[in-house]
Amino acid sequence: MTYKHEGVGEAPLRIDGDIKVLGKAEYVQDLEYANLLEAAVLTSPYASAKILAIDVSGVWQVEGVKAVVTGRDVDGLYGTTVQDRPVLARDRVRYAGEPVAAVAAINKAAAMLALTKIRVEYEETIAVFDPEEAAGMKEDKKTVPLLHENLMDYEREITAMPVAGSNICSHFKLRKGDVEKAFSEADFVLEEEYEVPRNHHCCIEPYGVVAQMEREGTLHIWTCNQSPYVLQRNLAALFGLSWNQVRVTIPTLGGGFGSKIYPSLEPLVVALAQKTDHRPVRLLLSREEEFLRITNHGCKIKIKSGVKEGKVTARQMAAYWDTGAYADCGPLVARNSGFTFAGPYKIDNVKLDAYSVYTNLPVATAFRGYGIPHVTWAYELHTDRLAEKAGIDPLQFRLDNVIQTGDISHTGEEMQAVGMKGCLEAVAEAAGWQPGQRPAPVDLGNGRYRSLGVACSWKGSMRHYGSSATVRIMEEGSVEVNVSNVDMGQGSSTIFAQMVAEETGIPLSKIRVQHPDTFITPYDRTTSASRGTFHAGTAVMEAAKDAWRQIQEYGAQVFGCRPEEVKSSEGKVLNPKTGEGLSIGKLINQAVMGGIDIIGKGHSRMKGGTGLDKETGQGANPTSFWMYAADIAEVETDTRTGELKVLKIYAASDVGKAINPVNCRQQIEGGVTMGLGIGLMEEMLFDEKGRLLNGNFHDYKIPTAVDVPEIIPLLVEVPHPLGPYGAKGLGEAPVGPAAPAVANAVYQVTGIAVRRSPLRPENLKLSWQKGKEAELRD
Amino acid sequence: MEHKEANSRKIKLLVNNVAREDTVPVDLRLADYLRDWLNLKSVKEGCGVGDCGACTVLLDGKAVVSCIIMAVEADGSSIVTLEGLAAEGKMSDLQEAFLAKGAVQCGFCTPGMIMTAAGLLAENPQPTAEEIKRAVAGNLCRCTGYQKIIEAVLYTAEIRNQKD
Repeated sequence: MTYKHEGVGEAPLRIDGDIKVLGKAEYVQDLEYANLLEAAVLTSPYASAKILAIDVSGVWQVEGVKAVVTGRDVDGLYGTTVQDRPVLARDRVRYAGEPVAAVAAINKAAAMLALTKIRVEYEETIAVFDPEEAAGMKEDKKTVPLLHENLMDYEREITAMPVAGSNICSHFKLRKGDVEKAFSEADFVLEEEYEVPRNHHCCIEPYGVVAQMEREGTLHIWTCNQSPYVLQRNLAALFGLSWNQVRVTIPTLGGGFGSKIYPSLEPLVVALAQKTDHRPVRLLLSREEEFLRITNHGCKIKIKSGVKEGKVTARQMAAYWDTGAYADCGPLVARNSGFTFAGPYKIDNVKLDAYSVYTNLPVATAFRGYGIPHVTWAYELHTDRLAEKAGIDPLQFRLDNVIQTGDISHTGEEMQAVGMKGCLEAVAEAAGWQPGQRPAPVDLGNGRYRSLGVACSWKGSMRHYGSSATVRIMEEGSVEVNVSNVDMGQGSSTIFAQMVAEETGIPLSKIRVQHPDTFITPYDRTTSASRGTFHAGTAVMEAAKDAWRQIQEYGAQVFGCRPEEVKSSEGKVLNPKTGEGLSIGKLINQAVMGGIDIIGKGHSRMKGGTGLDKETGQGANPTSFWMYAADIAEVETDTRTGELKVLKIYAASDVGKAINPVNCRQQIEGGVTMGLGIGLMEEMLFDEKGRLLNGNFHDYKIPTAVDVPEIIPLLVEVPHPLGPYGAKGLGEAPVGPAAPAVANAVYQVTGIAVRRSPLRPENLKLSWQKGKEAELRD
Repeated sequence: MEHKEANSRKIKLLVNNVAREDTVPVDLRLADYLRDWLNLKSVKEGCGVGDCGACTVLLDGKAVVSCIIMAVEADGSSIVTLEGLAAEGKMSDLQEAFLAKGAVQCGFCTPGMIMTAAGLLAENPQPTAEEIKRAVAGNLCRCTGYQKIIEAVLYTAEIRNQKD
């Protein structure tokens, strides 16, 4: 075998690619078990109702039924930020689709049939669906039903800041400078409202969970979850187990995008498993059930800015996040998008209020970007309006206002390694847009025009939460990397293997990255916030360096030299005296009779992170790193029909250092496509009773191959001093600017601002008509 | 395999070039027959109603979604799943192209996507990018943005045409 360097900066083939193209990758639905039971879940038909009675006795008429549970069988509450959620509804239901009872039977048909034998008596109560209304902030509707009357009694994380006697499970505030004064001194002030409705992650793999109470006393769960350790700790707390009794095994994941970060239906499957004789219980969701399991937030945003001499001097915003019936991570979405809410601009006077609000809709959770696509939609459409009013080219306006290295952020952070301007310059150059000279729309005849629009975005990751990793080099020379970051398609296992190859010189073909398993792979906080490369990657890099140091020590012993003289070459350890290469296995064996494993340990344990002040949102180091992205869209608009054709998206992301440039481009292409989907096509529709109308792929359309424009991914590299090899995260940032760039291109042609996404032809046409009517009235 | 129930029927078919004869319930979906009876796990279930394309297989050379076809309907046909594309475990050129062009991410849509592409190339050995996009429009992917998938199919066609 010829040796090939496949370390950092190279683009080797994805290490899990071969099993995937051969159809051998095992997802939860592919795992096989003896004595498996299948679960089915009965859900509420009402968005808000009291449960007067549940009679499950009928299920035993069905042959093959082995267990049934209702909310009355399972104590305790769980939740990511606020522990407000029962495993199954108890005395009341809070959304249409909430689990009320569940059955396990020898096959799915028996379990489904048994559900029809359960009688539930409900008394419907008043529901509330609009987050602004639910927050009690609508002037005409001040009295609203409360979803959680004892909100203040719930256990909660410090990041959840509930408002007593309301549906607001968190109110995040940011205060900087004096907005009122700046507004009064501005050349002009512009106030607008935007809205992004609920949309869905749509992983092609629907959720699947298998749980088993093993005879030896451990709970073993196989699930498509992004964060095995968060799940382990939640399940341990709920079911009275210690952490080392809960084994979470993560097989190959069929996409995540945030929908699989936090515990959702796992506790319910465990509750069923507890009622069986140590049998594994499996719940595989249908697509419709998956639409109701968890969703993205909807959001209403108010934004007001003051501009003086071409600079944004003040910005005031309010966001009403529809987090659904239970908080999940809603308070964190409000907070983490909150401190980035004013956009990647240097603005000295900022006032922000972000409310995470309960509504009688399905639970909303993290979605690639953690609120950033929503707020980018608002502030980037708004930025074009500001530029227009200021009479400045929108690209130039952004270049004049964006935040740069050394600037102080809205929370008081001194920014480092900022690639925002670099991203804008990269897309501008690629698209042929000279700053200050925006190309005029091209008249294509018959009411069709081609135009360019720009948008940019930033995203913080999260605080310096820890990650650990080990690199185990076996005598044979093969390597096992133990890390709990979940590869859900972003390619993190390949990145980790490349880091090990870089540090040890061992070829990629000899390196295997384990599937995360809390009995095997060490702690990692979450696979979220684009933190995998940065945090888990740092842990893997440190572990590989540690392993290599040990090899150098053995080399010194065997070769009779100093450790630092020992180098690797083409996968072998070089004897500095003779220049001969020795395999790692032979080296270990010569150094230690009988052989050992070399185990390198590494941790990401950065210091210096700060919280954010409860009243002012100020904090000097709220996130371990920042990501930056900018897009220019080339769009053809038909002004007669409102039809849009996105021709090209130039998309730049500041990745710090591209560990694997192909992986980076994949993240950009996929992120842009997702951004175009949620911004131009997708919306979850609910009827007046809060029941989902389009929970399937023929009524809820995500982009197909024919919908996607040409995407030109551009990598900008402003190295981060703390990132491994200078790398930053990447996964989320490309989602934000794509749709706003399109909307801004369309605006240049129509002059009609669309406030609400998705920007579908009918919406555009409607806004246009309304705009024309308004013009006539004026 | 025998399955003794009133509503069962005997079917004879070729699956990945192996002759099969089974008595199957009439309500057994082709996808379940392939996954559960024959252990061909490359056939993925993403929606169960024919929308997502993850369960795509070739039926007499044509790409079909096996979740909305009954096993009894496949009687007398030849079925090829992704497992059947790799002769003796060796990757086909199309699979190699998906790997080489970075067309694989989470991998869940990959088997169905490759089968649709295989069906297209059998019918139309020199497809344009537009034709490929239309052919795979019934295969949903949430990771890639499709560009690299289209490149992989174009590349396979190019390599095959060079060989001819």
